[in-house]
Amino acid sequence: MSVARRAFIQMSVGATVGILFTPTVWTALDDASIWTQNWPWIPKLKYGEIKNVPTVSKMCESGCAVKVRTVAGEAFGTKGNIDNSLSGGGICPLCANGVQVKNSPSRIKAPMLKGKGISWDEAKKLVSEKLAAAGSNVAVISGDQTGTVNEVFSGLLASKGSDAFYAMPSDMQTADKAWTGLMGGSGQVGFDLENADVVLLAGADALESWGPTVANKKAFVNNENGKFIFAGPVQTRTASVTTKWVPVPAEGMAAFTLGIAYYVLQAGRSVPAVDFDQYKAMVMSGYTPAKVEAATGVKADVMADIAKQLLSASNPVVVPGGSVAASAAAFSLNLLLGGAMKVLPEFGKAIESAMTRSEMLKQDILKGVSADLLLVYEANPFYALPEQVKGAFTVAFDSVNTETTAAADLVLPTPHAYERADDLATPYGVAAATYSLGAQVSKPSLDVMNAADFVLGLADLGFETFDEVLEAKVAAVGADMDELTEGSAYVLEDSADASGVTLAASVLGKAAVPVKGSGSVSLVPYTMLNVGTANQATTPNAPCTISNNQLIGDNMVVMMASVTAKKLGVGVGSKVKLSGGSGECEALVQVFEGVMPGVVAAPVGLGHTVGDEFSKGKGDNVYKILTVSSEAATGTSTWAGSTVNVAKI
Amino acid sequence: MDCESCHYFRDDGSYAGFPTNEGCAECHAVDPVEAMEAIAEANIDPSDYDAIMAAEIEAIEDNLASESDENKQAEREYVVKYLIQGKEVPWLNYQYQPDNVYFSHKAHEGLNITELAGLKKELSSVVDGVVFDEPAEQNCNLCHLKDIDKNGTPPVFERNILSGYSKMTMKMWKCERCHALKGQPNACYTCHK
Repeated sequence: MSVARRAFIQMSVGATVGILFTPTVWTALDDASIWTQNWPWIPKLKYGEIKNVPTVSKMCESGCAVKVRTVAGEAFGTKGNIDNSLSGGGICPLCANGVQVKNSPSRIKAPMLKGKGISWDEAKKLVSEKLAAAGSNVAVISGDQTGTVNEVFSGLLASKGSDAFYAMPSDMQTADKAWTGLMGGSGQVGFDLENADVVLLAGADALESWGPTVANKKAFVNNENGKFIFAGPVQTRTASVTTKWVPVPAEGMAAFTLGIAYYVLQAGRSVPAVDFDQYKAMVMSGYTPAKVEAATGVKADVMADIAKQLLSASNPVVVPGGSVAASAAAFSLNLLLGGAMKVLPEFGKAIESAMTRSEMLKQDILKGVSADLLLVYEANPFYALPEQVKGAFTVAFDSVNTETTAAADLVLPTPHAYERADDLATPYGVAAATYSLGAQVSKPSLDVMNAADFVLGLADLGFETFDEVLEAKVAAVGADMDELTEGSAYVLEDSADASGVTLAASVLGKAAVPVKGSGSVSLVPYTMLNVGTANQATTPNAPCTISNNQLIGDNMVVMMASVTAKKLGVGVGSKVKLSGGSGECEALVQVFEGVMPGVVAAPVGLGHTVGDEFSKGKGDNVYKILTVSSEAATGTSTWAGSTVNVAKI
Repeated sequence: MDCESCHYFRDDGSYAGFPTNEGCAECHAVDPVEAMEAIAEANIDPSDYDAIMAAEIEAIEDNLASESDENKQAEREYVVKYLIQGKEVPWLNYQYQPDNVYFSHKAHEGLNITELAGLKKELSSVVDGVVFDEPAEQNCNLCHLKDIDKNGTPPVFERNILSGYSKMTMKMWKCERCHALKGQPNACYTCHK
């Protein structure tokens, strides 16, 4: 059969018209377009009830009370917990990224022995053997400042006859060494920033990184009539919103504080401490305004003016940051002023054999840790203290990969904070003893185990599970479990007994003398929570908030005044090498007149060699160039007074 | 059992849609941990549903709420296959809308079938005329299968092999038609947030 040309054309036109008039093609096209929406690699939304589940997050040092937003039980966001006094609805930049870290590919997925996966039973057997072999030569380093998990670890140490519990260096530890160590106090020092009328932040970067940052900010906002003064070597963000910034070198903070104490004593203030006379004599002779001005560069009239404001205030407070000596000086000044410094009692223990918080803070990690068996709990000492920490066999408990998990022999994955129950007792700096409970928000997605549960399986501490420990802790605190579970904090307004406290006169006189290294400029490390801390690298959403004053591309930025830059022969954008301690760092220079002359300010928390794409290889690690020196008079180690040499490259 | 037992507005105004095991367990009160322990004790493979059901495990049987044998078996199947396994029921959604469509039940809560009956002709391509002829108390029939709650055996779920959705899923033009007739906005962002 042959088809004529005409017939073929007629058939083609007919078919075309027919197709145009039938809905089949259009419907199929529509369906096909919907088909493209459902390709298997296109992510699907999860539907279900949206809840705000209260819990605690410990990515920052003080910990945040948060509400985790969940849909159908799956966490998708974090916000502050307005029902908890630690938060008041606010949240820090680290904890705000809790969910992103929980879902990070950097999470540790299963127990690992020297890079190879093992089962939990094998891990338990191995650690039990190492524990038996180590005898009392076992040590713990904890990155948790506020959790009852520390009681479990210290209970384990006690069962082995060891007291080698180490905390990572912190303001809490510095303050404790001053208060309970030098001054013979008990409990924990706190500061009522909300109700103080004059606040001298003597080195405490309270609105950026010191203490309970979120609670501090809320207090700052609520304290409408209070006057805040910041003293420190760098005009930090805190200093940018306080009434005044007083440039004071870090190593001179104790002397500066005693210089103010001079005027306070001159005004006739006294305290019934046994060494008051000795203290007064020490300050009136050794820390006269002229001597302090000579030692620190702070003008006498500046100290006189601050002293006058503190003396005329009805509820003043001095908040220290930095060395043990600076803390003791500030605490003694607060005792003279009688203002808004509080002494908080410690809550009761859940585990009888565990150390008190103060006992846990006694060991000096900067002097070095060496043990046959070293247990590291959610801390990153191999990043911040690589030279100080040595373990014949190291077990790292953490939820994400860090320099410490990379260096450890055995890595045991912990559940993320949202996947476990935890608690948060009185972070350093709060005005009253505070206890919060963190509920498990979502089910663990990886082969993880709560470190406390693992440890409870190694020794008989009287509890089978960490949940039981937490129940006992809540009972010891005297709080209501239901209220805690709903997210509110238990606040105890009691004060610890401070009647026997001394002014540490015999030590302070020597300890407050400024001492610094031999480098060409002073190194001031500063912390910004969006950049990271010693234990926690920056988080997935935070890098976009890091400014050009901290990081440009993959280069760390250090800040210095123009006079310092001129002296060093560098300018904005110069690439420099900083040498100090036994290490070196590379950085770009930024000129900022909010840095004291002779000082270079560098952000801590950068330069990770292990981690996710947001932190690994970004900037350099300032901990490498910090110099550990001994505060001879106080018997403690410190980074204060670190200096570096700067060379243009 | 009424519709609101499973399909209800939450306190925040969102719609519960399909029930989850958490909700179902409020009535089907079998403790999954207890049941699994009993299954292990009986030396039965937890994934062998038939064996579990045949074994008449006390931890399950004692907590079944249904009375008739037929309902009891249906409940038993749910408990064994889903509840104690920690698996959610893969409900078939006759009107599933893709993720890029934002639909709020709350915003459509006030639509009244009787009042809409005046638009029966204009809406004939969107809503079956029978829906207006026999107006139900609630307005679910406007978009969902008519009187499915009265039907013990749901109609066959016909899946479009191209789109992957139920044959009955509403297309965008149907939403637009009703919006236009009701004087509601038809801008893209009304539904595509």
